[in-house]
Amino acid sequence: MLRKLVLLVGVASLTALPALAGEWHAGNNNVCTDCHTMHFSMQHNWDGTTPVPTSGGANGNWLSASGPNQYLLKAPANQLCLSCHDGQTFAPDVLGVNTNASPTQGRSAGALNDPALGSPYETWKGHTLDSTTAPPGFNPALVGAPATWYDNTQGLECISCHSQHGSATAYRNLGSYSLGGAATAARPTYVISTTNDATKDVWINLASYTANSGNAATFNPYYDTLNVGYNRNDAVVGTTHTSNRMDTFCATCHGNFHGGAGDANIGASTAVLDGFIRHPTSQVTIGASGTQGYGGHSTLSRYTGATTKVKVYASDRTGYTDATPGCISCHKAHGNQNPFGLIFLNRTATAVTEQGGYATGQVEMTNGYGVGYRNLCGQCHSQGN
Amino acid sequence: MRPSRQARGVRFVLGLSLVASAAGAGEYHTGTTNNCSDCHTMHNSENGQPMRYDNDKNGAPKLLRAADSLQLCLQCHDGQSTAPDVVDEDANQTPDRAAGFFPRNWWQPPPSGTNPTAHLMGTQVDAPWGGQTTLTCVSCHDPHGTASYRNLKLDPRGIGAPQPVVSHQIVPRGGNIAQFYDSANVRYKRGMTSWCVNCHVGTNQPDHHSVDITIDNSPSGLASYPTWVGVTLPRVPVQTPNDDVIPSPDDQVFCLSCHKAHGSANPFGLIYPDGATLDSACSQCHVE
Repeated sequence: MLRKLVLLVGVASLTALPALAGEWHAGNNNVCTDCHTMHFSMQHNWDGTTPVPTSGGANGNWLSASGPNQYLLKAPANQLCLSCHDGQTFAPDVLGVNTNASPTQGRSAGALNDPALGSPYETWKGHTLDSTTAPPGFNPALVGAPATWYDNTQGLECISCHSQHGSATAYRNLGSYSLGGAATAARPTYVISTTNDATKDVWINLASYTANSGNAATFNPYYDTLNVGYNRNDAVVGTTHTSNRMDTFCATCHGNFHGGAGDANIGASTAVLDGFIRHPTSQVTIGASGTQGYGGHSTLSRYTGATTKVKVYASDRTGYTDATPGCISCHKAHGNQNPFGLIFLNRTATAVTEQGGYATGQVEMTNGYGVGYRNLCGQCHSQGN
Repeated sequence: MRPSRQARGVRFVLGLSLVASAAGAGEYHTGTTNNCSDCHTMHNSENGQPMRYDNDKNGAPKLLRAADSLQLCLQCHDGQSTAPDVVDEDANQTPDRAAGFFPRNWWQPPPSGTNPTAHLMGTQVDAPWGGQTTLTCVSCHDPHGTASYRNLKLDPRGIGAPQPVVSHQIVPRGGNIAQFYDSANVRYKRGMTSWCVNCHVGTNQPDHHSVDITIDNSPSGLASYPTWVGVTLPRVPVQTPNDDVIPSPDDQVFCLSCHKAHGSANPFGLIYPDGATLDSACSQCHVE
C-alpha cells in the first residue's frame, strides 16, 4: 500500500472541535502522544509515575517494547490500534471476542480476526488483520478510486479502512488517506440524533454521544447494531451505481461485487430485469415490479413482515418502500463467527447477536450453515423458505 | 378393438428431478436441507476463486453456480451417488427408477426416422399445447421445492392443475436413494394424469388410451382385472387411490402406466416390462 508520507509534529492536538465530530479520533480527545513517540523512549509516564507500561493505556502512558517504528508510532501499526481496541475496557474491542459487555444487538461492525485467534474467529469469517491476500473483487476503478490505492502485499491494517487521525464528518472515521481524492465519495456521512437526517448515509439513533468516557456502558449504544440505520441516497460513483457511501467505501476494495442494475459486473437491464449475475448492492428496491422491476425475485412484504430485519438502505423507515439491499445487509464489516462475516438472522429471531439470530426451535445443520443461509436469504426472498 | 398405440409425436420435456426427503413435501429441496449456496453464489468469489461448479469466473444469470439451470441441476443429478441420478446409467443402481432416465445425449433430437425416448431438454421443441418451447428441469420441477411429489410445480403452465398425490412405502433417510426412488416404493394415488395433461393437452381425450379408469371397470370390458391379477412380469405402475395393495380392485391405468415421466430406453419413454416389447405392457391388462 502506498503510504502518504505524513509529517508528524510533536504538538498535542488541542483543536476545539464539536463533540459530535469524528468522536474520539477527531475532536479534542485523541492526542498525538497516545499513538506517537518522538524518541521511542519513556523513562516515566506523563504524570511522572513509573513504570511505563508496554501495553496500551489511557492518556498516552505506555510505550510498546517493539520499536522504534515508522511514523514514530509507539507500536507497529496494527498492534498500535489494538493496544486500545482489543481487550481494553476503555475503548471498543474490535478483535475477536468482545472484552466488554456486548451491546444489545452486538457490535455493528462485528469483529475482526487475525491468524492467531482461531475458532470461533477463523480467518475465513471476516477481515483478517495483516492478511496479504488480494481483496476479492478488487477493482477500485469502478468507483473512481486509484488502481494502486491499496497494496495488499503490505498486509491489511486498520488504517486500510479508517483514518487514524479521524474525520469530523466520516462515520467511524472511514476512508483511508490513501484514497486521495476518491475519499470524499467513499466516506459515509452520519448523524447522531433521535431524528433521522435522510441526507446522511448513516443514522445513529441516539440523543447524543460524548466520547472519552472510557466506559462501555457509555460507548456501547454508539456501536450497537440496534441503533445504526442506513439511508438511501442514490448516485453513480465512477461507473457504479450506489445507494449509500458505505457501499462505495466497500467497493474501493471489493468493486466487482458492488453496484446495481445496469452495471456490467452486476447485470440486469431494462430488457432483462432479472438478469443479475451478482447480487445487487444498490438501487434495487426490494420487491419492485413494473418497468423498473429489478426486485422481482424479492418480496417487500416478506421483508417488512419480519420482526427482526437485516439492515437495508432506506429512507422510508416505516414502509421501507425504497429499501434496497447493500453490503451491510448481509455482512458484518469487520466479520463475525460466520463464514464471510455473514449475518444469519431469521426474520422472527427472538434475540439478535453479531452472528444474527435463529428462530425458536431452529437448529443449525451439523454439516454446514444451511439454516443460517436460509435465514439470511429468507429476509427478502421467499424461494425455498 | 385394440387399444391405440401412441401415434402422435409426444414431446417429452425434461423436468428436473429434485431430490426430496420427507415423504410428504419436497424433501431435500425444501425444508432445512438444501442450502441457498448449493445453487447460488452472490459474488462468484471464494477467496478470489470462482464458486461456479464449472470454475467459470464470470457471473451467471440468477446468480447460479453454473451457466444455466440445466447444467446446475446435473451437477448433482448426473453421476453422483449423493442424489438421484436422472441421466443414463444410474450411479445409485436403483432397481427401476420411477421416472426413468434421460439419455446421455439428452439435448439431441432423435435421429431422423426415429422417435424420442425421453423429454428433450435444452432444445427448442414443438410444445404440446402449441407453439414452441425449450424445456429444462425447472419447467416441471420447482428448484426451491414445493409441497408436491418430487417438487413438481403446482401449476406448470399457470392454467390450473391439481397436485399429484403420491405416497411412498419407505421414508428417505439420506442413504437409501436407490430404494426411495425405486418404482416399487411408489404408490400413485391421484392427480398425476391431470398434471401431465397440463402440458400434454388432449391426451385424456377419447381418441387416446383411457386414463384414470379402473382396470376392473374399463369401458366395453376392454381391460381384464383377472388378467391384471395374473401378471407375472414386473407390473406397470397404476394408480391405487384407495389402498397401497397392488393388484387390487381400485387399480387404475394412467399416464405413467405406459410412460416413464423422464424417459426410458424405448420410444416415447414407453415401458417394456419384458425389456423388449410394448405388447408385454399391453397384455398386463388386455387379453387381445
